[in-house]
Amino acid sequence: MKRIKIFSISLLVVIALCISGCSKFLDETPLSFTSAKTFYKTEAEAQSALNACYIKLNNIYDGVNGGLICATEYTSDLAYLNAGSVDQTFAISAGNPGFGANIWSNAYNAIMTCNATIAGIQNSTTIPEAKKPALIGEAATLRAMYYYILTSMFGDVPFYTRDASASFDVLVQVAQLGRMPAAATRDSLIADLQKWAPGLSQAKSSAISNNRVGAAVAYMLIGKMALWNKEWDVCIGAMQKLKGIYGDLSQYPLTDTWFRNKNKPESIFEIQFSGILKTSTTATQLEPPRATGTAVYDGVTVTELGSTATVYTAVTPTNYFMSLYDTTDPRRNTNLAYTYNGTWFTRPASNNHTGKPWPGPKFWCPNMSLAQDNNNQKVFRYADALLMLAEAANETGDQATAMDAINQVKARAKASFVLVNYPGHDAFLTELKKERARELFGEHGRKWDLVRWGDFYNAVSATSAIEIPIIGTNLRPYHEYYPIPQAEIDRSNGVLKNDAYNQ
Amino acid sequence: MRLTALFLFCFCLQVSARVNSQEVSYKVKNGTLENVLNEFKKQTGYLFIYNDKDMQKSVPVTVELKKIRIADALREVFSKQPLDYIIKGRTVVVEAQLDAGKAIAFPINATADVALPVDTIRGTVTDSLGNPLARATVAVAGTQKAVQTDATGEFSISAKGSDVLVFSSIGYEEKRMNANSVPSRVKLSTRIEKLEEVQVEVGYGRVRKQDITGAVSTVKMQDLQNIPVTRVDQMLAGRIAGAEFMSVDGAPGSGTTVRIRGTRSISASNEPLYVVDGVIDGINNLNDLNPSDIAGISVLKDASSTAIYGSRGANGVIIITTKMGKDLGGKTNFNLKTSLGFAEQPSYLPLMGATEYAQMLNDNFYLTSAANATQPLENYPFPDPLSLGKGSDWQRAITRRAPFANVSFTASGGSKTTRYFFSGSYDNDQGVILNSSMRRFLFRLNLDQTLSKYAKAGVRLSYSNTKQEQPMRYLGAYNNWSVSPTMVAPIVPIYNEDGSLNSWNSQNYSGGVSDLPLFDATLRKNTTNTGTNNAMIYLDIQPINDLVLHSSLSYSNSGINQDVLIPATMPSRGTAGDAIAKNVNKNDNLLNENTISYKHAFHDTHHLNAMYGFTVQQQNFNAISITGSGYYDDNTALWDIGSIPNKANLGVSGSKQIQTRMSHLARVNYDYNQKYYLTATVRKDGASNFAADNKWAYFPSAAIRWNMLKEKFMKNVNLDEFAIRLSAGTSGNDAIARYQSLDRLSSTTTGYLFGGTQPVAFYPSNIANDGLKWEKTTSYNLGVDLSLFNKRLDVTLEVYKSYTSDLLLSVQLPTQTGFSSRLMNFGKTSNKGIELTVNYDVIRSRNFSWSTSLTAAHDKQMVDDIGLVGRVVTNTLSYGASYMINGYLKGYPVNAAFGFRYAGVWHNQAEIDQDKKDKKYVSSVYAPGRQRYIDQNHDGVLNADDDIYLGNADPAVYGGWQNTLRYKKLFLSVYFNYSLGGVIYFPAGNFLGNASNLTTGFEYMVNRWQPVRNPDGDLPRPTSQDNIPSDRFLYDASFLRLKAASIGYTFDLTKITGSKLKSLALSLNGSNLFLLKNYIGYDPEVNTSGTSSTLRRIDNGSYPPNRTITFTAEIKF
Repeated sequence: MKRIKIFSISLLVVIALCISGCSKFLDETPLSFTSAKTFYKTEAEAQSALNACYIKLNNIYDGVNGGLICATEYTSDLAYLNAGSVDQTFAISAGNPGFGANIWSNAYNAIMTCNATIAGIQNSTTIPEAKKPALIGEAATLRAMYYYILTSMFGDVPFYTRDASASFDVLVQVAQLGRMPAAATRDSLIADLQKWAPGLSQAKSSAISNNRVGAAVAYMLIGKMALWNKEWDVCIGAMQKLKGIYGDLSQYPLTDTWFRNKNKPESIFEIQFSGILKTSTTATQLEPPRATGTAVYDGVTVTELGSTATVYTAVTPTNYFMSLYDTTDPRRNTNLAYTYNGTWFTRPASNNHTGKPWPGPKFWCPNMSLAQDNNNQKVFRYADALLMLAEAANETGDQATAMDAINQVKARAKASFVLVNYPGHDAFLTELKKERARELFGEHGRKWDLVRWGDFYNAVSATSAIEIPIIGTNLRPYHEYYPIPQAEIDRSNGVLKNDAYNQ
Repeated sequence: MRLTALFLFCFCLQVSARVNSQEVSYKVKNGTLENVLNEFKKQTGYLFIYNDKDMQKSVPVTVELKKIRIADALREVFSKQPLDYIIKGRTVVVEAQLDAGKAIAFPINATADVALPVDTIRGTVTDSLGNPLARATVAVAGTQKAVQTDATGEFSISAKGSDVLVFSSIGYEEKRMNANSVPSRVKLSTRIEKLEEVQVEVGYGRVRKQDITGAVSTVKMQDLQNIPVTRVDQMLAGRIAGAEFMSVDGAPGSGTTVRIRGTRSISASNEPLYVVDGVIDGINNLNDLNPSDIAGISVLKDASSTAIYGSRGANGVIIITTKMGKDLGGKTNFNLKTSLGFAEQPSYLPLMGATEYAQMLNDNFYLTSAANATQPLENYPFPDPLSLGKGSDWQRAITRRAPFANVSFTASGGSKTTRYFFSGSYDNDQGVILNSSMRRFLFRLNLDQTLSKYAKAGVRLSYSNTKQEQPMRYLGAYNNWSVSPTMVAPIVPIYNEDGSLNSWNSQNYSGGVSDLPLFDATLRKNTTNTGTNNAMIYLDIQPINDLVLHSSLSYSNSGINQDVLIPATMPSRGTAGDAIAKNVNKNDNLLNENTISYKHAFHDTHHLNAMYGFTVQQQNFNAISITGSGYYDDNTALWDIGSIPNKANLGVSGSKQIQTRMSHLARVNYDYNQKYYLTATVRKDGASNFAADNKWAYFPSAAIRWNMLKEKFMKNVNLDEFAIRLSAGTSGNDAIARYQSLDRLSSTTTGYLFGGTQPVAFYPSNIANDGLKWEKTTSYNLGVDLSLFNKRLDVTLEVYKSYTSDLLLSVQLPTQTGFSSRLMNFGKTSNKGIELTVNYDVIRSRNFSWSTSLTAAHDKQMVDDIGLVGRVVTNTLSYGASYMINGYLKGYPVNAAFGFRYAGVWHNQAEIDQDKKDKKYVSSVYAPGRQRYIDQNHDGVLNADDDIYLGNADPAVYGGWQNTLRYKKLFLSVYFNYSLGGVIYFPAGNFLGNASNLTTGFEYMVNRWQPVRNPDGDLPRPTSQDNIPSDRFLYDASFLRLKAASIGYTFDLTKITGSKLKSLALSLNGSNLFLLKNYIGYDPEVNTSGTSSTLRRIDNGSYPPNRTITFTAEIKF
């Protein structure tokens, strides 16, 4: 019986010890991730949280079906891509939202990250207050960028700036948000950017180390959103700030606008890619077809493109876009490829040299390995800002500013292209719209410009829709905005709606 | 229907095989025993075995029997005979009573201290029929002294008169008798596994089978021998009513996904808990277990049995015990077994040849523009399709007949105090897909030592090392269509003219190269090496008779190393060079369990068995992964990781997780006179992976059993067992990842590029959930155990219902929150079902026996509530609109399949125009020859409203049917498993069944619509891939499979080899020999979604389960 006693006692001791240690034993202490509560101690930590705010830009600018460039450029009056996706043929619907689903989830995930980062920095007690505005401003600028994309893509969208990752209650409130008028969202963002922009680096974007965003991007966003809201003076104010930073356009060579030439002085915002670490596939749809195993592209040997590139069905310019260029316009042979080193490609040479050209060398990726495009995606640059300034000044009647701005762009292409006399408000606007096409094709904005001007349906109906029957069949005025994906409508319990699409 | 009919037929056959009466009527005065037995034989069909010598001892019989049960009749007849009898099923063995019988009870008379003279005792050991038994052991109890009988069964041993001699031989009942009363012939009777003696593992203890109160199934291990598969779970399909086993994949070493009584949970795991030798989480996966080491498998199904595992039990528990050594009086039994054979692909998908494919592309050309229709044949893409013949057969190009080899060795034995079981085995299992294989070593040592009168201890040590080679392959995986051997077009050559592999898939858009199937199969390396150590030590202390203290400590660790190499020679690696990925996982599990149990019988009628236990567990999970690319040398890249030319191409990540658990458990078993049983259990569990205030929970259960046969009013009922069981209880599910209740800031170094580098970025990836708690399942079970015809027919019927609430559900959030889902306790599911197990010894005679067992189960599982969201989509095509294929919708089955109803094609433009008014159909493209679907709400719009419930992926009935036949030493074992009802979706049909020009197509697509040749056709025209899931790709998942068959013969080598060898068994075995199915894919019994909690019967490119045939030789000595 002694044995039992000894055993029982020792067992009891073990149990007693365990139970007393219970509470601790079952505690969870994460070892391989951290928590916002303990993070944001130093500026470096805040910086690394800021890094995360950029990540989704890669997803948005290189997504399925060619990324944002498809949703904005190949579905406009300038070009089309007849490769069958719902985006390209305007077959999008809530049930089949195409690239819209990708934009929606990536942009909102990034917005949540930006909001959490801003809250984390604001709440930090150890980061010096003086350091905070630059840090917060950077996150706020990126947040505005994502909302700018969302409002341009979808029109009215849910808008919030609270930290949804902080508590479940906030999360639930955010989950129940419906569409907010886009104009109000933009006004709110413009005010926010105007608050933070002065605290950001006032240098040219190319001069800011490590490709981070500075005040230039903030001003650009203010200008873009002001144009949407027809707040001309706000746009002019922001563009004048950029003029102060960037000066005269003539100092920037036109070849810097090529996608392969990264982060040049004219650049305001580029999405960074590299051939290995972050690849995009954009160039695969912007190069002539290649013969197997060679560097022969549509009948012409293009040595710079090499023999390993993967090319898919290429983007085709509309007749309208082709007609915009003077044959001596250097941008014609940059944006479009009729010839290479003087030799005509087979397709443009067809029908007595009236065939369709290929997308031009501006978009090509030299020596691309398979589908790995090494180029940056150009989002904003100074010529765009000048044309925005011209547009806004034309609306306010400031002819001198408008003329100077548009002529800087025209003159860089060719001195003789400049407008000598102000042609009147409407004619100026018409010319400006054409100039934006000539200058900025492929830079992620044409469709949005058309929508902003109210031209989308008519412009596409008169161009792509005539050339491609399926676009003609499918195109509807409501395609100016993407529908909110059905999955989101389901998840929101019907708070989100696509009224335009349900007509 | 066909299958159902076949089953019913088979089942009827069995039932009608029941013969004759169980009762006898006979009247005789002074008749001979032999005549009486002959008469009994006539009346009942029972077989009587006896020898004439014994019969001579019989005395005349006088009886008057009127409709008396045979058992009672025998009792009466033999009551005055100097003979014994044993009933084995329908066979009665008669043998002489042992004179020594009385002497067994002697030792009380003998004074142990008195030294009696040593004597030499001689005799012969025989079987019950008088045949001499060679190599039987005769030992003096309590000493090391033992001898063996010679070939004629004779022995001589020196012993004192007071010694007790122990006579034993494998397969015979041990006999003990006093040395001075040993007869000249000692008869050993054949060991009969009586039902009463079968002990069943029920978790923290064993009970006799007829004392079980819950729903517990056991597997007959002898049915599992000789099946040529390497994992025990692969043998189990259909053998346990209510447990559904499904291969994840047919690749060597691939796992199985198991559902016991269906699916309950949505986001938490639904896989059962495995307990091996009492150790929870001790095995990394079932590859770690040698099937031939297994002594028994119990499956706990209802809450009363699983509640003792508390939070881990809701999905059922599979308890596996490994073999123990036996007291062979110091002898060792050796067993050497080797199997050699091959595996082959049982079937191929019926795909187009190059001719048919070229004709399809010509059709496409014809339809592309109106002008093409009038073009001359020379202008068509393939002017002469017939010249192309069959073209490339990619399926056969990457498959092979693959060798299979297994060697295993066991040694077991022991003495009274020490028992041991040692085993080792080696498997080399090559896959039917080129370069896929599994090689495995397993070792085990089970040692049990009696330390003293009060204490016993033991260890279980095992080590396994598995190396799996799994090059990439995408069999019918629709999202890798350009490189899948079931998808690449037959006009794409396998080899270039110079004999090198072709890397150009002409159908894959334009431009780039493709890693066509043979590149993946021959160049890519994907090696997983898993080493697992298991060690368990236990100590049992029995200070007084009724009390046992048990304590065990187990530690297991496993290292899982995955090495992936895509060499630079792979076409897709073009200029980027090779790529490697290494994943190193080190997991361990420390578990301490302590129980104290008390067992006592009061007044011989009240039996009490009470147990309390306390357990503590800690698991560590460590992971490191490394990726790199662009090394100079493919051969060293995987190991000389640091030799990377550009450090920017090196990626590392790591994690460590700890999970802890603590439990108190208690159980009381009580029975009154083995008539009324009561079991009550409660477990209190604490686990680290729930929110701080919700870590602990209680899981109670209770069950009763009523052995009705013991009631007086059942006295004249002709049954051997009749019991009713009733149970209710709650068990839980904690199978979610760790740290789910905490907010989380994750890091990445593969984020945005800043100045060409990727500095670390921190982002929120999980939001805290203070309410996260257990998922609970409450279930009720009614069971009936019935045994008839002298226990020849056993029937077990279970009916159950269970309700799961607080589902651990990843609730899908509106994406605008930045999160797509959050793990919450939300929603309810319910299951109800019925299970039937029938075991029947159809024939039991000396030379011939036939036993059969059948299981059948039905389970209906419903989503009762899904909370906020209304629907949870779990599966879509990754192309197009992503319409729901599988998902959770309130009021529908858990594994419901959804889609559109196919309504043929538009035959002409007139039909399209007419439908603009009728709104009967919708289509993604309105053109002649394109698919149309039923417009469910007649709104003229193709949208999610037309995506409707099409069927349940779960079968209506499933189970298995085992037959074992033996004629003398020849045995035949045939095992079928079946599944009736249920649907399976074939996602690759989106390409293969829609005449995509990107991929090949099913042969049946030659009947596609064509305006001239086949204007009434209802299959779509070329390039009709519309990414819409429809019932056209939904198939009946019913099947009947000849899962295993084995024929063998055992040679007795004792005489020939002078007892040096015992026996040699030769057998020819096959698995997956025949499959009757309606499904177009390889096999409906697969699930490429692995052990996903939500998805069952998904076939997105599964490796087909192969057919294996082996020849096995097993030698015992």
